[in-house]
Amino acid sequence: MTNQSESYPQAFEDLRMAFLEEVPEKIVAIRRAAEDVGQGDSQKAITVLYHLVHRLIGSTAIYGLERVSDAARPLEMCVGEVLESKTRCGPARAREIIDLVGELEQVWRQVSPPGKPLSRGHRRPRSAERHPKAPG
Amino acid sequence: MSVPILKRILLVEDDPDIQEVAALALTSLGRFVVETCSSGPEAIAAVPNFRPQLILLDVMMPGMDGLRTLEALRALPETADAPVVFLTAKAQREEIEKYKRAGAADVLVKPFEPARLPERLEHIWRCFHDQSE
Repeated sequence: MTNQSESYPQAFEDLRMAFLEEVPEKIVAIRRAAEDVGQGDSQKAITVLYHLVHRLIGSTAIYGLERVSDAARPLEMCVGEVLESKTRCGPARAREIIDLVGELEQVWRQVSPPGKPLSRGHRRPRSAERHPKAPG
Repeated sequence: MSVPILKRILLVEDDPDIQEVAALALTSLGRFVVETCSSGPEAIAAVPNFRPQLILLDVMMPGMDGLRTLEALRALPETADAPVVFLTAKAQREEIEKYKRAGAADVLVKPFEPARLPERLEHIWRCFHDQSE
């Protein structure tokens, strides 16, 4: 059995709190990408949207936000179907995607800590940015 | 033959949130040296200097996905035989079998419990060497 160090729980909690700060920004990015679907190059927009949603599902689940992760799954499935069909996203599908984003936003509002509205938020520097690798 | 000590782990994950928490879980023990990469090409570039003993590789990454990255890693002398553990959100048996047929030593399904990641990788490492003997 491998035991984690004593500092791990606090370090994980620090990461989790920082992640919570960033969730609104991630959901706003999903909303923007969803609005791009159905306009112009919809295949590019749908690919971007799919990766944003897929990442949100993975990261929210790992940080214990299962309700948000679960709420994003129907959206991932819907977007994934459009992506696999390799066809232009029609108005009905685009509307469905927007509705599913609305459901995701609603779940976030229910579970988010006070003071974490769906505003732009901020992006903290990543550990790699705080401690950049030496060149070479 | 005894199992070598696992020390150098290459973590390839495009999601910075998952990359960060997985790296924390692995490095907080003080036993592993972890090199993190956000893409297949970045991982391939890191291999000659870092010489990973085990690679933890996300399947779904934009551009070069995990399967294509695995192919490229197999072409490098440093990682031709190294165990590669796929990270995936797809838990279906057929997907997991597909990744194993492609050459994965094992598959970890997301979400995983970060605190248990070191234990799971060490178990995979031991199994890999037991099978190799």
